[in-house]
Amino acid sequence: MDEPSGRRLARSELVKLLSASIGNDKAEEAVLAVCAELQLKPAAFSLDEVLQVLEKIAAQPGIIGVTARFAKSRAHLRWGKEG
Amino acid sequence: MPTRIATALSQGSPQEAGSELARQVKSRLGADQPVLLMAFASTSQPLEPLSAVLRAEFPNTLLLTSSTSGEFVESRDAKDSAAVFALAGDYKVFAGIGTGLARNAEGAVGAAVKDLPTELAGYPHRTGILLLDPLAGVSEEATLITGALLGAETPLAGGAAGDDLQMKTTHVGLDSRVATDAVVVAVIFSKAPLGVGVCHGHTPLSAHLRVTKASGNVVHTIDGRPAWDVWQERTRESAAKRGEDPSKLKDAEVGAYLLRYEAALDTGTELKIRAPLSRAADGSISFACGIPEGASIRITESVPARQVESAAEAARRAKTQLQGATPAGAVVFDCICRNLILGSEFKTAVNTISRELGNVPIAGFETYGEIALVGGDMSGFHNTTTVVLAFPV
Repeated sequence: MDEPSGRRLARSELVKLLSASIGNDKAEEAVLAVCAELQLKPAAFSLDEVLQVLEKIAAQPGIIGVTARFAKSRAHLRWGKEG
Repeated sequence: MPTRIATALSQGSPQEAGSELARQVKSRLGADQPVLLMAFASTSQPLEPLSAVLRAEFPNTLLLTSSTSGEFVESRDAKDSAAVFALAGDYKVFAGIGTGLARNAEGAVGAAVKDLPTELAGYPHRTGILLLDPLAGVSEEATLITGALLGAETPLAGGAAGDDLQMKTTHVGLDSRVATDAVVVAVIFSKAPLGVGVCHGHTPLSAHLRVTKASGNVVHTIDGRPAWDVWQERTRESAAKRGEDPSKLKDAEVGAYLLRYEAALDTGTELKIRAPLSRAADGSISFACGIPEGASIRITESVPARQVESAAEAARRAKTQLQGATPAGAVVFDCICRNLILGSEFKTAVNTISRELGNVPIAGFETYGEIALVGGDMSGFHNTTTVVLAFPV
């Protein structure tokens, strides 16, 4: 996805997309694990990177995967519009 | 055509209760035909025969049903009863049902929403209602999937069915069809926005605890010990103040006990309440939705005064979303554990909701979980809350 604004999202914003359903600790853990896997610096993210991270987490089974799929749909709306 | 809302509460056999509910609704609505009926019934009024009576009395009205753990209208609450909410006015309502929720939440919700219209000329506002079987153990999952499919512009309200605290089988229904392990999704198209408000009143009782083994909605161990052992240990002192000892509970009493002491996920900014529903022989605890292994939780409790205030706040939040319109009435999804905490004062909370909305008719039921997903919310399944879905005049 294009990111004309060039805005980068802090990790806390990405974690917040997940924490309401799975808790802050687990959301942070899931994001850090995927960042390591994708070799992303876990400090700030482009919208493309946010979507990549959520896509990876979305592949997990159960509540974590469902939460990430929902977060991805909302992230498109929230930051896609800003872009 | 202005909104008209009628509510009623009745007891007796499903046939007796259904006939009496229909009589009261017809008496209050007069010549106006309801476009939507929502019937909430205890296990004493099984939904199939109750639905048959209501369908016969209102053959052209869409009927949503749920089993409950308590029922109420603006003037009183009851057990072993059936309550009905009837909506008449300029609304269009559509609904679907899906089954096999535990095995395939995406499939069940997908089946329920597949034929729902996304827009309707002349009706710019769409609000969703979600009723589900919480014992399927995927309540948050089903809520998020529904929210994703309906889209961020469609606020969602609803409740998780109950079974009078038996924790065995809960049912939801659409028209004459009633199912367990199921989900019902309805969309209401309206000329003006409806209001959805939610609020809880819990506070932490324990320090942070780590879920060390979990699968799906079952938490096996906490801090390396059987979950129920930890729950007893951390709640014993509080329970003793009420003269209760968790080690002496009978199996049938465990569900109610757990609902007094719910779990909370720390989301960084607030507590997200998660309802434990039952205990297994191995000491594991089943929840109404998935709890990830490794999650940090706290055990919570609540005092009665906060439960009444949170009900009022939920009503105020719903009213605010009506954007200045006068409320005509509301459907209320209220957690059974609030009733357990409040006891005979529960009716005060119910009265408070009606009063905050201008002494309007309300009807609702005591749930095993509440659903509210509005705007930028990132979670929609709640516990120990009041969810108010308000309709404008």
